[in-house]
Amino acid sequence: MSSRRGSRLVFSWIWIALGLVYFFLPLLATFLFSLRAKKGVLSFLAYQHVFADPKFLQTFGFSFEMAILTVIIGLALIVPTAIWIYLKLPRVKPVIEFFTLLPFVIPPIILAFGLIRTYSRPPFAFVSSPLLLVAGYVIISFPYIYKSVDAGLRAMDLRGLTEAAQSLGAGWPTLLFMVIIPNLKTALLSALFLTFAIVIGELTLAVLLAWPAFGPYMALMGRNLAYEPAALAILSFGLTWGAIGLIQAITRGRPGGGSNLGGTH
Amino acid sequence: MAFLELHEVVKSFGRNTVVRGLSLSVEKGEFLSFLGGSGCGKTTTLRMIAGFETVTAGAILLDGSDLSRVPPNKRNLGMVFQNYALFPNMTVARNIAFGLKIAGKKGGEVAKRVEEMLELIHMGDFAERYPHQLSGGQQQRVALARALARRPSALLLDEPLSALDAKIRLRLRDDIRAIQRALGITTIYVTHDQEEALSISDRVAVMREGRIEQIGAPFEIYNAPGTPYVATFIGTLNVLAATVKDPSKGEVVVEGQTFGTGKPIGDNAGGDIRVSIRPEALTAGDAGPNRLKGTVQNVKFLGSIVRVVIRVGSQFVSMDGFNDPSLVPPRIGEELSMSFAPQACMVTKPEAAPLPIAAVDEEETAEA
Repeated sequence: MSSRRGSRLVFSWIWIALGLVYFFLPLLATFLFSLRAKKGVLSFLAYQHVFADPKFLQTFGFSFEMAILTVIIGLALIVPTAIWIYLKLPRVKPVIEFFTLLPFVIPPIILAFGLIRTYSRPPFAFVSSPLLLVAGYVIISFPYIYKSVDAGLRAMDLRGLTEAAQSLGAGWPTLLFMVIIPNLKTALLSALFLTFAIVIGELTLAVLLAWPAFGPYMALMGRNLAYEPAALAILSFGLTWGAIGLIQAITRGRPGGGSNLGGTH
Repeated sequence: MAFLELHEVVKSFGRNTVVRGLSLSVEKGEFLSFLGGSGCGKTTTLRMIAGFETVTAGAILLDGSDLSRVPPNKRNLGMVFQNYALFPNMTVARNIAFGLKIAGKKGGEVAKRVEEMLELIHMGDFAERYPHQLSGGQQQRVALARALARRPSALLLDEPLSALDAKIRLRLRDDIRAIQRALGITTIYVTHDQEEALSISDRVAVMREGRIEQIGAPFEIYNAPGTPYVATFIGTLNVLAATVKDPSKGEVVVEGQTFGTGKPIGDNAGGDIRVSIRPEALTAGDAGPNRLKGTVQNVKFLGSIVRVVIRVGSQFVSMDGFNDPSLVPPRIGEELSMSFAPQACMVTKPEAAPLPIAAVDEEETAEA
């Protein structure tokens, strides 16, 4: 019995190790490759090139702004909607679940052409506004935001907390900002993180709507240069991991935050 | 005019009517329980008073003003829930302060009141704990303090003890009653536990199918149940199949043994009837005017009470007696005579009082 469990444990570790190798080997290879811009020695020359190109910071900054707007608009639309559905219209939940699948079923290129066709002539001539790009991003990130919020709402006793707060005199704003959102912190941070990850690397919408975003910049680099795209890839990984670390640091040990993921007590 | 009044309150969910014309008056400072099985409408009625459910028809008046159009957050009613519903992101102190801050109280005043409330629930040392660091009983105390902090006009409790262990349940039950008495706050308490309702309340409203079956002091409800349903729902009851012998004298026959029920029976001689007797109304021996003989089937020691199950023909009768260390309890298989007063018998029509399922442990069915 114990030996069987022991061998099962060994197999688990083998699978984990294989998984880690599968994920990290390409990363390591990319990293090593990015250090070879100078012949014969390992150097950070490619990284210097990346930082020397003003377009890097410009495009990254642009995408960063788009990501922030996407997060703000996405959360502002989805969080109250999800709460409302949980409390008042639980029957609508399957419909929303179906909607969350649409961005996966409809390719971004269709979405882009749809947006362009609909909004490029009066009365909806928004095609020159970056808000149209943000609108597209909100649609793409909608499933991720909704699923995060959904998981967060599921983990808390939303109805109980709502009624408790109401019986204590709380109106909707108090309820939302003092009770629900603090208890959704982990869910909101994961929504934020996923949205950033999607928007920073997004290519199709940015290209078709012709915006100088980070995704098209990376694609362009990849076509024309050898070592710099590898350096860019490593940099974007670093940024991503930094973001995860930040989330961990913010939520650690706070009730209603990360420690709440373990379920109800 | 009573402090809290319900006039012909009806609640329907679609075609399903849960509360069917319920009327009730609760005096200021009174402790009233809604008692009933699941689906009897007790929680729905409480939630209508709290404002979490709208009233389909009828009116709810608090201190003379109609609550129907008042949203739940403007009713100033304290509510305690079965699952505590404390805010997990706030400490005990901040949970209690929540309602006070919304009411616009100043910092010093809030702190003072929070301290008072912590004192009231004997949890002064727990102010900075988070709910997940507390036991269920402690969480429910905090929930009670949170509900009372704003000095609500009435306190509503929805099965507050159902999620707790038996021992904590008893202690918290006494504490709730003591706090309620000390504050003199009008309280509505919902429970499915008859012992809880009887022990804690000034009055108990026994509910069934969206109506109040009987309302009265616990003593009345237990000793003078107004309907067969109340009689079987409250306490343990021996329901016996009997035939009428002499309607005018109220004599009946149970398993060939004749006894009187004290009142004339509006039925023909030879008709089927049900006679109900509480286990504690029976005593061993031949002393009383009425007697039933049988064989001891089982003896259960329940601490302060000894319950003897006696087989009378094909039926079973439970008899409760106080545990007396100087007496030898009856042995299984022994012949035993029980005596009881005619007034202890409740006579009902067969369709109104279903017989318990014949089994040695039949007293369990009467409690269920």
